[in-house]
Amino acid sequence: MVSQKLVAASYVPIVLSILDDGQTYGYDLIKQISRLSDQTIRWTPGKLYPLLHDMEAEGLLEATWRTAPTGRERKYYGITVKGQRSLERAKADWLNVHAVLARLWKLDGGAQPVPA
Amino acid sequence: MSGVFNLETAIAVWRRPLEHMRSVSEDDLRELESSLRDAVDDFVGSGMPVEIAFRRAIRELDDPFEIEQEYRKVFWKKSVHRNTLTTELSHRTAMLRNYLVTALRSMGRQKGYSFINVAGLAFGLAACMLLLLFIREELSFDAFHEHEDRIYRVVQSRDDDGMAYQSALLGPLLEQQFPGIEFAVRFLNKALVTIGADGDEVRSETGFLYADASFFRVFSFDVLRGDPDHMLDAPWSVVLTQSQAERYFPGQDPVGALLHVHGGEPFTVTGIVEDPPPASSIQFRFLASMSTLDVHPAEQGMFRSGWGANGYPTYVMLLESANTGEVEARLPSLFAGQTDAEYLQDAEFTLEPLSDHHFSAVSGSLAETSDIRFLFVFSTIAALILGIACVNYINLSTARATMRAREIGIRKVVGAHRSMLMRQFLGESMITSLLALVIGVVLVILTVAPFAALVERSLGIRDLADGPVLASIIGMILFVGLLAGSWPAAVLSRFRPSEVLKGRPGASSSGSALRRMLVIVQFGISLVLLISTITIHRQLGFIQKKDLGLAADRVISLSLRGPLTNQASVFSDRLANVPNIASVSLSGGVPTRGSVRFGFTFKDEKRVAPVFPIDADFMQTMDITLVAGRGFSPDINDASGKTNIGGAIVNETMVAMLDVDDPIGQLLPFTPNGNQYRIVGVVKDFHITSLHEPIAPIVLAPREDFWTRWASVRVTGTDYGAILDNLKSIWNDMAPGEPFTYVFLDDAFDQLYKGPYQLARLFDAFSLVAILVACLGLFGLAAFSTVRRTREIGLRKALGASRRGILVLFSREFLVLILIAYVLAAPIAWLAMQKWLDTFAYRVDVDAVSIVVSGFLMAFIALATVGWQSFRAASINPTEALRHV
Repeated sequence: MVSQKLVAASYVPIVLSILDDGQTYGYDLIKQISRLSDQTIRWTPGKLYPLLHDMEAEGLLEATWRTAPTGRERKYYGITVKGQRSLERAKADWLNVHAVLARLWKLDGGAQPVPA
Repeated sequence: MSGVFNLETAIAVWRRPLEHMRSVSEDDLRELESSLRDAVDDFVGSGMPVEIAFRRAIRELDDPFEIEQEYRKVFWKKSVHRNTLTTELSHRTAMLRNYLVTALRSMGRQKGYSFINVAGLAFGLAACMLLLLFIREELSFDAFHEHEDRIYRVVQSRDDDGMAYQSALLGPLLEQQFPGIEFAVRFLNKALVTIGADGDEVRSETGFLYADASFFRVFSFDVLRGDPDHMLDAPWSVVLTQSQAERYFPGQDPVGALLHVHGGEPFTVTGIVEDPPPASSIQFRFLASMSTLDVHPAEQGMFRSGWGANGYPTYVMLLESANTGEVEARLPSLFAGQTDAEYLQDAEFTLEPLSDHHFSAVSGSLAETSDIRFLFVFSTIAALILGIACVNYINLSTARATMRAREIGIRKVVGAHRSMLMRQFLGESMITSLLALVIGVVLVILTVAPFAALVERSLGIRDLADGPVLASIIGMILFVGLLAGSWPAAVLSRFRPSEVLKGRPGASSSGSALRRMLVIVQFGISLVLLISTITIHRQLGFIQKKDLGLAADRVISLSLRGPLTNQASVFSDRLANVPNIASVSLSGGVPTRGSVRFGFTFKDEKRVAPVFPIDADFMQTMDITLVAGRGFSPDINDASGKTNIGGAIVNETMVAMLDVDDPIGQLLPFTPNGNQYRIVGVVKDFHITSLHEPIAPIVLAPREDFWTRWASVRVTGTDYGAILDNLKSIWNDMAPGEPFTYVFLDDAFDQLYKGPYQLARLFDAFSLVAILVACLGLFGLAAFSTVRRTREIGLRKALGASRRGILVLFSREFLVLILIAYVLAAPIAWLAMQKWLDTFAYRVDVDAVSIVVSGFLMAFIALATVGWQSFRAASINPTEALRHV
């Protein structure tokens, strides 16, 4: 399992990234992340929904209630322009961190060549 | 219990706690529920039964408490962001209202228990609030002086409590020779003076205090008129308190006016101060300049100038830099080389801080002092009553817990966190104690006046709002709410849902052990109070019935003043002619007051003997019995007052001390006033002080005119009014202008026991409250026990148990507790009462009878309390009882 702190830090970029591909609802987000991470990242509704709420308040997301074909009401979230800008910044930040770690670990291990 | 699982019902139950959370909106809840249903569907889709799928989904959903925490973070950010303080406030009040409604509903469902809880706590809190008012008043003494921490008085002691009276020479010498002493203020307290304004009638006044000019530099009494630094400079200056100024000079400006004080020149009023506050250990109504005494014709002589005499309480104000220890260490050196000061060198001199004066046992205080033990006893009792009330709450709440077990179980199943349940129960106990506070305040309003009269303080309900008092009350409520609430909250929230829902309420066996223990503690406390109350009353009864060796009833003693002291014989002859007067006697002192005590050493032991100069009729008037030798004959008091040289009558204690077979004709081993006395008669022992003190070796010496201070009459009949009128008219005839002062001797004796009587009334009231509160609790427990054991009783009856058998079974359970309490309480009460009784030289013992009687009384009270419940239990119809779940 991925550590709780890292999971907490990655919530926002992951949510924005998933929603960048199209609108969906909370329970689906939980299932997607579980599948994408091979069950190593587990989000709980208790954490996720308040966070979505918060992101919506900050203008990163917009939400609408829709009735699913099953008749169940679901709250669908979509990314806003402000959310997309935020995602771009987050992507740059995460890639920077990733590059630093990658270099460090490759120096130590010396296994794989750095692509040009 | 278990039925068909209904998903909709389960979801509704799950929603309920979240519905009450202010940070979870309806929208949030809709979303959470939708997510929950999705998860359930998924699990069902993978082949799980609905009920298990629901439980699994709930487990994955975080518990409501954590969900609320997460939403709260967002909520706060938002409410700060949007600055919606009002929304937040309305949420908070909604939450409080919700708590209140829940608690009130729960209380309303169990009216009886709630009444017991609230009433018990109300009594306990009321007792504590009265105590707080009293403590506040006691501890606020003298705090109003700006330099309180630098003011001390000089105390002189020799193996005793010490005295504040010093020689008039001490004050000025201290100021001169001790650089650390900024000011020294001497006082002379005139017990009784006769005062009149110009052309006004004369009045007899107390509270006439001579003080040094620096008085107002040391003490912070509010000066309304006059120059505080100089108004006590000149001789014949007097400062009036505001109430005296209004009394003597209504509607006029008194400054500059004359006030005639008997026996000297008129005083000029130089200033007005506010009346000393009740919480001042220096009380006065008139403040006269000390310099007056240097020129006052009646105040000259050795009492003014020598080291041998003392009558002047002397206060000092130290410099901030001064050290009390150094000053104390240097004090004895003052007397070295002073004439007549030798005897001061073996005394110990200390500086007593002003803040201690109110509780001081030192003689020579300028106001009535208090016994701090009274405060301790009272605090303890008040705390005990509150403790008993808390025990009730704990007992009844944990007992009721089993009845609420199912509620708790269900709450837990649907995800209520333990801390949430604890909060709910603590909330309930806080509301109970708040309600108790309201009723407690009403009780205080009703009882504060009689209580203030009992402790003789001015206490007002308004002082409850005083800072420290209010803070203490709030602290007390929190303490009681948390103390009484935390145990039940811990017990209740610990219930295991799996057990509870199967109908096995957990924790009940350990809970009932605790309840039994607490009941024992309650009744132990009540028993200690009961035994103490009975013993205190027995001692008071003993005091009233004790043969004092004289007959104090029907004796009126007049304190001779002015011209009467010189014409005592004439006065006494005239009194003898008044109708209904059986005998008249002149003496230097009367029992309870006015004896002169002489110290002497006998067989290497220091002794003190009170000496009463008396005339031939004293023994008859006081009804003192002669057991050997003779009394004085009337002719010993001839006109010169100097006859019968050397004859003395002593009491049996003196004879025992001398240890001689035939005391008659023996010389006294000491020489009162320089006179050698030979014993001519022996009287039966009689008391001249309270029964706290053993009878001293008393000497009755022949009266001489200059020693005569009292005229006592024994009256017949009951028309005291007419007799006093007659006495007064003779008095006014012989000593016009002197106030008529008298005392009934039995009243004078009664006044010696003010403390014990106060204590008795306090114990009466508070033991009653303690027992009442404890019984309330017992009643509740018995009721609970009856309900709980309904089935058992039904079974027993169905199997042939008689009504009597059930009654015995039920009563026995509680009687065993009372018995254990009794075994524990009796020795404690016995020890405490022995200690109190030891303060009396003449006393009853804590006897087996009163201890046994207290036990039976308590058992009876307890039986009466549980009796009704037991009877109800015993009368249950078994067929109905067995249907009881």
